Amino acid sequence: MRRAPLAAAAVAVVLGLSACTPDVPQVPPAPSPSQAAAVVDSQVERILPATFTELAAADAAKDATLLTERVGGDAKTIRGVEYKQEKVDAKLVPDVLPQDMQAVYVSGADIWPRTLVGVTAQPAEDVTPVVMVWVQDSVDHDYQLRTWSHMIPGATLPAMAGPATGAEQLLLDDPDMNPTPRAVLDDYITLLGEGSTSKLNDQFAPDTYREGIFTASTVLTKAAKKAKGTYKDTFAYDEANTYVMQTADGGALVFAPLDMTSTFTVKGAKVSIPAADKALQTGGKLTTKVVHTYRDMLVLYIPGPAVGTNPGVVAAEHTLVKVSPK
Amino acid sequence: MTLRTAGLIAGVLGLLLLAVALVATWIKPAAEASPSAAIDAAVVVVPPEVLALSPDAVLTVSGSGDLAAHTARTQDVAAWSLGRTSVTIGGLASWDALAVATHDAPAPTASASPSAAPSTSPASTPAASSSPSPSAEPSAQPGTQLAPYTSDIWRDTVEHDGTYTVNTADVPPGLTLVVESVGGTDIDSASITMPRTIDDDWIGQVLWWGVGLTLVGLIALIALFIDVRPAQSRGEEWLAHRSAIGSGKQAPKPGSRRARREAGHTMPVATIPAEPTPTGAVPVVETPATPSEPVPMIPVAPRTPTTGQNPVVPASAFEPPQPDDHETPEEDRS
Repeated sequence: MRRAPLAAAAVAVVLGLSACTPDVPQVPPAPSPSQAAAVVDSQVERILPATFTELAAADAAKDATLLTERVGGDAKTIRGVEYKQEKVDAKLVPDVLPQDMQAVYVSGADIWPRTLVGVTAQPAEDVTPVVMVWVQDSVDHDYQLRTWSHMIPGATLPAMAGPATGAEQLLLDDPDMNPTPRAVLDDYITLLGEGSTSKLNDQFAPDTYREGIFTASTVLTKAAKKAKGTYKDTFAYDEANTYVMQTADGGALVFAPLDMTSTFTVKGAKVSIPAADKALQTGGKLTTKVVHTYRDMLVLYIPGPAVGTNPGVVAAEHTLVKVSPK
Repeated sequence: MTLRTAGLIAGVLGLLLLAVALVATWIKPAAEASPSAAIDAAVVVVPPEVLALSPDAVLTVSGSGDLAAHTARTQDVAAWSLGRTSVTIGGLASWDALAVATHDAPAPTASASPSAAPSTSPASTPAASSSPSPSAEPSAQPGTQLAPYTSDIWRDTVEHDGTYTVNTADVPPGLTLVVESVGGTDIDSASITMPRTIDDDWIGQVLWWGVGLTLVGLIALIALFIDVRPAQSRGEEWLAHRSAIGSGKQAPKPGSRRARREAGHTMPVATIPAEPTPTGAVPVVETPATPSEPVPMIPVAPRTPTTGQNPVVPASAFEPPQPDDHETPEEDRS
């Protein structure tokens, strides 16, 4: 009987303590990040300096093989070409790529590859800003500078989604776009092939890139005729390395590498090329035929449905990468 | 049961309550919990919902080597950790243990070349497709060395030696925290220290009740050793005195009503006619012009009117009081 009060007290303690211990908290829903883009400022501040550091080292050594981690693809190829030409002609200095950025366009994609676009400050008074494109192939790869192109004089880049959401990456055949980026790009390539007399000329905003292509084509065609030869150029975009980012107005920016070949043939004569181009010559001596291979880069703006303007090239780069007899 | 016995019982009860309160205080759960888990992997992933469990929580990850802590988007971490052995903290299994899930890296396949050169640099002419794949596939192939811990998916990275501690509120909401061992050793353990609300108000109440009742019992116990009979008799006399007042056993106070009654004083009595007036009107009580005593209200005996009509009460007539309101005439006459 004497144990009864003690037992009651023990039970009271146990019950009381079990009642005063709160339940284990359940995991709440995950909050949304304030910046949902794939890349935010803190990442840009690592990616861009690392790129320019590697680029500066390669520029100093004029050695494209030093471009490994942060610079690759067409950027590495074109930089290598520029180093070769500079060695032949010191006046042909590589493109100046400013580190100061006017704007950085970030992707909001959850998948790979992902793109990162920077628009630099103006390198010089007579040089337009440069649009630089970084690509991350997979989660285990770093963003790598793949290409760049100078803005078309007078062109304006559209507004893009900021780091809060990031710009959506679109497919070339995105069903929500009308016309699709692929259709617009195909039309532009067709326009380049048909020349200034093409019916498609009015469907695109004027740009100095195609004007230069058309002018060169006219001049070279005349020159070939004088030598009883021919001139022909072809264009094809590199679909595997073409990326599309949605703009804030519902349109798209298409970043499309372009392969252009111009074949110049004469009869009864021998073609010759400038010394700077000879540095890029491969495949033997030139005789009656010379093939120039260009690796171009187009940035094509397709306005959103409410904008009401024609698509147009807002940045382009035209780079000779190879000269060959065939 | 005497008062002293009741006090002693209260004292025993108070001691019991005191014991319960003290034991409960001693063994009650701490106001802060630290559920933990063994990790035994190089990577710990803490999703944003776990980081949001408590704004005052502190995450501690311990290992034997250097640690790097990163924040990143949840979907990026999911893709990154596919090719790695990692432990994801899913919440609290109890107040003592974390709920964890281990993801093992894919086993090397027979086709994986063991001589594959470890390289994190992409090819100069990447074959990346412009058509984004519908799902994030781990690019790291089994048997190849994965990318170093510096990755572009990390929003921020900090390095610590041995133990990494962070207030979960300092991690930007919505981001996943990844703690990675960069020295080739595994992470030993992870814990989340967080406050919890203990409902222990009853302990304080029980404690004070115990203290009070114990004091009562103590007083009763002391009273066992003190002769309180003189004080008790005085108290009883006083009580008897008080109870005797008004019982009729003592002489009335001079000047009181009872004293006057016993002295034979009579109150002025109004003369009520023996017969009603012939007119049948209600008799008017004539009061002295200057009464020396207050005029009591005299009950009027109901009478049957002589005419067949009920008498009308004039406005000046007063309503006879009820017999219960005042002393009866018999009492007055006595």
